[in-house]
Amino acid sequence: MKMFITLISLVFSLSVFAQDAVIAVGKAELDKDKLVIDDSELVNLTGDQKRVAAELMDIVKNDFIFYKHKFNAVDYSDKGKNSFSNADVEKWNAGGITYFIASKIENGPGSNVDASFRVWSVLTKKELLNKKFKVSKDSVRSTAHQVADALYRSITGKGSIFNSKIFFVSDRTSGKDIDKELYIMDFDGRRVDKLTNFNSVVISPSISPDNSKIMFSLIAPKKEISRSKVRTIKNIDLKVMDLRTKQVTTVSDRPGINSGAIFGANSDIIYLTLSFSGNADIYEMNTNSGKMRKITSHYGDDVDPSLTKDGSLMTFLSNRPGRAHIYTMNPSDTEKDVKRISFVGQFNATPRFSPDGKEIAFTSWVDNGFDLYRIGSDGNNLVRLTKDFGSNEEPSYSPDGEFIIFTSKRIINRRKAVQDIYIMNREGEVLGQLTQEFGRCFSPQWTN
Amino acid sequence: MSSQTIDRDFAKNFGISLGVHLIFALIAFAGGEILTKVFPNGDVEIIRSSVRVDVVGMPKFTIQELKKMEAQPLVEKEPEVAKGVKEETTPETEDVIKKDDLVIQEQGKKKASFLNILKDASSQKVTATKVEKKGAKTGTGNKNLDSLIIEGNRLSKGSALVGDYTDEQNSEFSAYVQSIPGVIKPFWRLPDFLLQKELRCRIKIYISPEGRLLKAEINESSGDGEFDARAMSAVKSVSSFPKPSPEVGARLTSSGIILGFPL
Repeated sequence: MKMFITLISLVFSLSVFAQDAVIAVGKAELDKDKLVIDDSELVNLTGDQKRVAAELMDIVKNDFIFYKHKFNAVDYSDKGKNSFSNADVEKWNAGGITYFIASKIENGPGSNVDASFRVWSVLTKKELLNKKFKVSKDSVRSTAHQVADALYRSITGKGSIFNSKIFFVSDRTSGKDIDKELYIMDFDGRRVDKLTNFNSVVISPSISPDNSKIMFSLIAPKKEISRSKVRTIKNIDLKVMDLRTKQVTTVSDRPGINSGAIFGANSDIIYLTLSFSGNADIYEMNTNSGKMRKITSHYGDDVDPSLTKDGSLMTFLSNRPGRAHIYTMNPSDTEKDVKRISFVGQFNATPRFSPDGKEIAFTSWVDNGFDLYRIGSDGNNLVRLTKDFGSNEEPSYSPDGEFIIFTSKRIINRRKAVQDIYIMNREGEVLGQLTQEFGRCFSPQWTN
Repeated sequence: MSSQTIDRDFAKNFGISLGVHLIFALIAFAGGEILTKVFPNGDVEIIRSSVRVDVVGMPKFTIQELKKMEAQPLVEKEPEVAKGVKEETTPETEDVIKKDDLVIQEQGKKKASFLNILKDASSQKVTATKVEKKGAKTGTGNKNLDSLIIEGNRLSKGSALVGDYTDEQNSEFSAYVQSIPGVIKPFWRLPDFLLQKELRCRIKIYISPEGRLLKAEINESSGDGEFDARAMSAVKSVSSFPKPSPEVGARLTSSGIILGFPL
């Protein structure tokens, strides 16, 4: 008994002594890398080739500026002194440089050039990349993005946004009737291409995980026979376009809303909002078999789903608490693990997952416009991203999760408003405007 | 068995049960008190201060605005610092530290901003960006957003709704140690690849009554040498810690405190 009491008191005292205070210093700040992209060594270039070389380097440098939250593009005092052939890592190290990019551009057939790039990690004194690219005059822009991606990849070990594309909807060509068609452009807003010519209204585009298909809703005229009379009504149909063949097929043309559809982790499975039962609910649909499964089942309206890459978590908007709020759930079963994650805001909309599924960007009505916010998927860390920057909606994350594109609307006067697509990093630092004088732009969607 | 025997047995067992329960209750209530009386000080340190957060609306400030606020207080000092050129000039910060500065936020702000100015000064040559031409906003932002989130959206210290936290000396000690992260944070920096590894190390430090670092040792390694080295270097880069009061100083010198990087 004596021993027992001694043991008990020992346990008590140990547990008290074990409480050694640890003071959390908190997460470290990012130490930005100092990056030099040195002037190229030019070998026997004609005037035309020099222009190609200059354009190539301009685009590469411009691409890296998007990642200015990671890299400090620093000036180099010994610029253009053939650093490609005469690497001097010691000297760069003394200058505090962390990464050095050198290039040599040589004469190719016609106005084409051969561009070779070398990348060094100055701290570890290792050469990370030595690669040659063939650049033709007609494809400088796309080759430059490939070069920039290869350089970025060699440094960070991860892919960049440089080869990514953005889909969006614009009313640019609309005449009297308001038409909205689908467009595609580079991540930096260049090389815009029109994808549809329905002379109708395209809404909420969504890209498949392998970037091969794009799904959208189309307000389409539909013939309806009632009391032996044929009349034309407008219905919202769901369509899919194969991006290689540009062929469009109908996925669903049920009466009512067939919108807000997104692809699942497997692109044969889609998630969409259907309202044929009276109130809006989210359904899972197998596009091959046409088989449907109800995901949400509540008397409130559930709309606008967004899914993590692996398809294990879904976020959606619901008015079940009375106002539009953001919820998450496991889409593997009906109403499974439904969790409300937003509790404030008058009206929240368009919740969109980051690629890693750890956070959700959304828009919320404040005072007299929408602003963008970001919240952790667990409902923590709510932060504001935009303010005094027009009315901001429809966020979409970049494939690497470092950037968010969104639409921003400015009222010019009582009759005119402009709406363009902007890009910011995930800390809310706006980097620039991607569309300009291109009608009103809607629903930007980044490729995966 | 007669009903009388049952009654008697019941009364007897009830009495025993009651007694045992009373003894348990007594141990539960008085045990803690007795233990603290028996072991009055030791190395025990429980930092108790509660923070109450009421979410009443969407955040008013953007991340960028919060960063600017963090940076603001030192803006006027810029010319003087710009001449200072190198980070070795950190001893100047000694002038900034006053006895009243034992509040985390202010301490953090001043140092953070000081560093920001150094950074601004060193990055003046950054090449003009094409994106800016398109109408980009220039952010001050050298600070990482995550650090802001960890620090919280400017929460103030709450008052405990329950508890017996009246020991003035303890509260003084607790306020002091909580001011330490703010002093170290400006030097706590990692490159992207280490940030993403989500490592953790703990360092035990001893501070002299004058606020000088006496000794710093790895208490728990992260397993990554460079991570440990950078955390240690952050601690050693602090030229002087806030000067503690004599009582707090004595405890710091004898038992030290453990710093968690990041937790």
